[in-house]
This record gives sequence, structure tokens and C-alpha cells, in this order.
Amino acid sequence: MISTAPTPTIDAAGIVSRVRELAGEAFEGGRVVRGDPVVEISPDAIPELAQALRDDAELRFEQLIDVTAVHWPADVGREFELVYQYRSLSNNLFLRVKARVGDGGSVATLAHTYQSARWLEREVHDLFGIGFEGHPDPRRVLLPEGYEGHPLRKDYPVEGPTFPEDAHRNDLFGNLDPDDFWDDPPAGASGS
Amino acid sequence: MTAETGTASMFGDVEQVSENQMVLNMGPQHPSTHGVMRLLIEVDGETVTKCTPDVGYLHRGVEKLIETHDYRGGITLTDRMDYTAGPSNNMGYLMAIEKLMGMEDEIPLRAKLLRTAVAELSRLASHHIWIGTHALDIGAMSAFLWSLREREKILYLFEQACGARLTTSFMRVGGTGPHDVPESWVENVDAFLDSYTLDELNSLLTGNEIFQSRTRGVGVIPAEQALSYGLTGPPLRGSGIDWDLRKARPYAAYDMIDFEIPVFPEGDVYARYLVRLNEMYQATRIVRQCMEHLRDLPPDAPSNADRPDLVPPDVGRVPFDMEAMINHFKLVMHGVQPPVGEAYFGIEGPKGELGYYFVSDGSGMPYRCHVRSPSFVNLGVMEDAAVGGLIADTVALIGSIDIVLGEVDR
Repeated sequence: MISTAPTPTIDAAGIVSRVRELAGEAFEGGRVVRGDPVVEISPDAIPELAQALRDDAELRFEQLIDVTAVHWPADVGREFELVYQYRSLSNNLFLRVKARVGDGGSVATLAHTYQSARWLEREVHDLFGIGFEGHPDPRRVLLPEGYEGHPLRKDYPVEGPTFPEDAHRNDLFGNLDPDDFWDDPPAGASGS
Repeated sequence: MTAETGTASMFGDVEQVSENQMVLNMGPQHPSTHGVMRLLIEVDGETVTKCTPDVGYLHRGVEKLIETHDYRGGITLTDRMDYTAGPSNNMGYLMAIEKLMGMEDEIPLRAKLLRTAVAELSRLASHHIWIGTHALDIGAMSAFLWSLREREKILYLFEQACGARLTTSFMRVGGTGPHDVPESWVENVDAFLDSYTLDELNSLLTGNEIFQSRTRGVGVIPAEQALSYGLTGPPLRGSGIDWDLRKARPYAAYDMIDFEIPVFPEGDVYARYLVRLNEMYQATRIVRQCMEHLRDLPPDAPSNADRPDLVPPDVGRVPFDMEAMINHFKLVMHGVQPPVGEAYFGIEGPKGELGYYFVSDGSGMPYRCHVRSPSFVNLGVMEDAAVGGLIADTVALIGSIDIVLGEVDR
């Protein structure tokens, strides 16, 4: 039984400046967002920085809590923003590391540094289509093998694709127009 | 997908298996898998040599759906992920939005206390499902029935507070929302705590020789492995690591409450059982203290932040007060509009760290909402922890990790 927790050893701005030292030339920017330190680095440096963050005596980020991505289709050439959440339990520190990667691009896996990356990176690969080089098990995790497309991309339709095996359903319901349900459709009403 | 390719991907590794080994397919609807999950197990005799969980049967695209709803509409999607602890999911979602808007300090104390109490009640409700099904997996029938009987009382309290038992969608951004709990709720919770007992379950399982022989030294997760696999919640504390967000980064009203975090170093199924059982005792302590604090508040204490741009006006005023009607219209049509930015907020849910990562583009709908679900990350450890154990131990291990497939697949 415990009833206390370690107080954070450094503040958020201190974490950013320490990560700047560790990342060196790969450092692309850092700031404190809503109390959390956020660091942007070049995608080539992701595995080296992860190793450094885990082994650095001052920071000791023992856990990779989360990996996800954000799709910005307007930023051609650097569409995907990878977001890594690190956590130091012994020092009570949080850190968010971001890196930009282009559509169809890939980054090196963190699965050899943090085992949690095995499933988290599979999820990002599954839902965004970002490749992770050197991943020990690079399969989809949530969607079935052979599924086409990556649903969390902004260009993927929310209602999903039309599957060939669902064609009989489209024969039954596909030719219904939503406007047919209205006796007197309001002026300017459309299907959207 | 044709039959041939289906078979090939299901048993893709069959050719590599030696003569003494066999591939077993557990699931997708094996009752011990707590939902629709498939385990592909390679066994040498009775010993597991490889375990590959196959998830995704319940994938509903919740993250994509949240991106197409306004912030209020997403609340109802969250409690359908971990449906054993709905209010806890609602709370994490709302507090992440509040962090995104930078208004954590504006939440009134009454709302904080109610959130804390409801989160701990949902922890109890979740652990009751876990203790019942876990014992059932191992062969103890009575624990399941007794456990669900106690859980029923908690669901009744949820129903009194907000009208729903499982998918509560309780609370709104800025406080409790338009519907506060009824006046008699505090007395009802106190009456529940007086009648509630964990000692039955404790005496049924903790000292039980059969239960101990099935759980002690089984499914050991060393501390190193727990850290590397990103485990949180009871599986982490059952491996001897003292980490709990309620103590490390106190949110809601946890900084006012006196409670302890149980930690057991053995790392086996029994240690995780003891962590959760002790957490249940602590949860009753927390709820009781919340009720005491609630009673000390003045009767007219606000339960919502003083923010008309977020909190709907009193329903009774809307038809008679022009400003209230405009306010209500604006909130329904445009919703909550956080500034451009991003925020990650995690709460200590019943199963581990439940985190929400929001990216806002300034509109009424989140540009991106990622759910860091504890069940999904914790389940990843199965690939390592099941190896070397028996098939029956795998069942005990799944129960002790405590997953809900609705949250794994989202």
C-alpha cells in the first residue's frame, strides 16, 4: 500500500530543453501545450531519441503509453503527424513527441525499445497506412487481413466503402432516394 | 474472402509447426475470452509455446464516429466502449475536452465530487464484473452470482442519478450538465454503502485453496515486462510498480480524499486479484468521503461552471426567456467550440489509464479524437505472458488482465 507519489523532478519547460539536448540536430521545435511538454523531431531520429529518452538518467521515460497519428491532407509531402506519448513513472514526467511523415512513407519501429509499440504501431499502420520498418509483426490488428483502405484518413468515407459481397443489399435498398421519404421536400433540401 | 484464403490466413503458421506441436483455435466466441476475441495458441503437449490474440471483431470505428459528431454527441459513444464502467469513460472524455479548453479550474467543487464518486462507483461495478467472470473462468460459480447481486445495487444508483444503468452518458462539459442528481441520491448512496459488503467475496475466494492453486505463480508478468508493454492499472500495480494517476496527477476531487493504492509485487494472477480486491475496499472509502464532502456543501452550491457558452440554460427557463432560448439554440446548433489546439488527458480508469487525445481545428467537431484504451494495450502482453504456461493458465491470465472487447476494438 502506498499513499504518496513522486513529485515531478523537472517542469515541462525543463523537459523540452533536455530533449532538445538529446535530439541534437533532429530537434524541430518544442513548446508547452496546456501544461504538457510537446516536442517535434525529424522522423529519422525517432528510434534513437526513444532509446535516449528511456536511458537518460535525468528523464527515464520507462513507458511508451500511446502511439497515434493525425492526418493533415492539405500538408502535401508531410501529411501524417505521428504522436508518441512517453511516461516516466519514477520521475512522474509526461512527454509528447511528434514527427511528420509523408503519404506512403514509413518510419523505423520502436518495438525493439518498447514492447508496447508492437500493438500500438500495428494500430496506426492499420488505420492510417503508415509503414513501420523492422516491425516484428507488421499485420493489421483491428481490421481483417485483406481489407482495403485505411479508415482514419480524412479522405475515407465515414459510411464506409461498398463491398462486392454487399451488392445484393444495394440491389434492394441502393436505389432509394432519401427525398422519396418526404411528401413535400423542403426547398433547397439535399441528401447531404 | 474465399474459403481457401480464409483457412490459409487462419492457420498461416501450420507448416512450421513440428510433429509434437499442435495449433489450437480458441474463440472467437469462447466464453472465457470475455467477448468476441480469438486466441491462436500453439501448444507442445499442454504447454503454450506461442499465443497470438486476434482482435477487432467489435471494431465500430468509434474514433472516426467521434470526428463526425459535435463534442456533446461524442459522449454517448464513449460509454459504449467500456460498457462495464460507462461513467468513468464519460468522465475521461469530458475532462479531456475541458483541458483542451483550458477550463479545469472553473469546474465547481460539487461537480468534481460527484464525478469522483460516480467514477469510483463505476470502478466497483467494473471490478464486480471482473471478479465474477474471473472466478467463473476458474470454476467458482457462486462468486459470479453474489458479485452481480452487489453490482445491481450500483447500477440502481446510476439509474437514480441519470436514468440509465449501463450507457449512462452522465455529465456534460463544464459540470454535471442540466440534470444534477436527485436530492435523495446522497442518502441512497450512504444506504448502499451501509448494506454493501465485499467480505462475502473475500472469504469465498482469497483463502480458497483451489482458487490459490489456480492463480498463484501463474501468468507471471515481471516488472520489466510490465513497463515495456506499457501496462497501466491493476496489471502494473500487480507487478509491484506503484503508479496511479489518481495520486501522481490528482484530477477531479482526488486531492481532497484520503485513500491508498494497493501494490503487490508478485506479478502473478493472484497479485492482480489482490490489487483489484483492495481497490474495491478503497473505492468504498472514497465514495463515502465524497458523500461527506457533498453534505458539507451549501444547498445552492453550483454544479456547472458559470459559462453560458458551454452549459445549457435551465430547461424550465427556455420557453419563457428569450436569452435562454437563444443560448439553448446556439448550443444545440453549434455546440462546444474549443480553440485551435490539442490536449491529452488520462484518467485512472478501472482497467488502467484511459486517455483521450484531442486535436481541435476551432470548429464544433473534433478534428481528431484518439482513445488510448487500457484494455487494448494491456492485452498486448498476452503474446509474452501466456508462453510457457498451460492452456488452463491462459484462461486465468485473460481474466486477470481484465479486458472488455468493446474497448479493445473501439
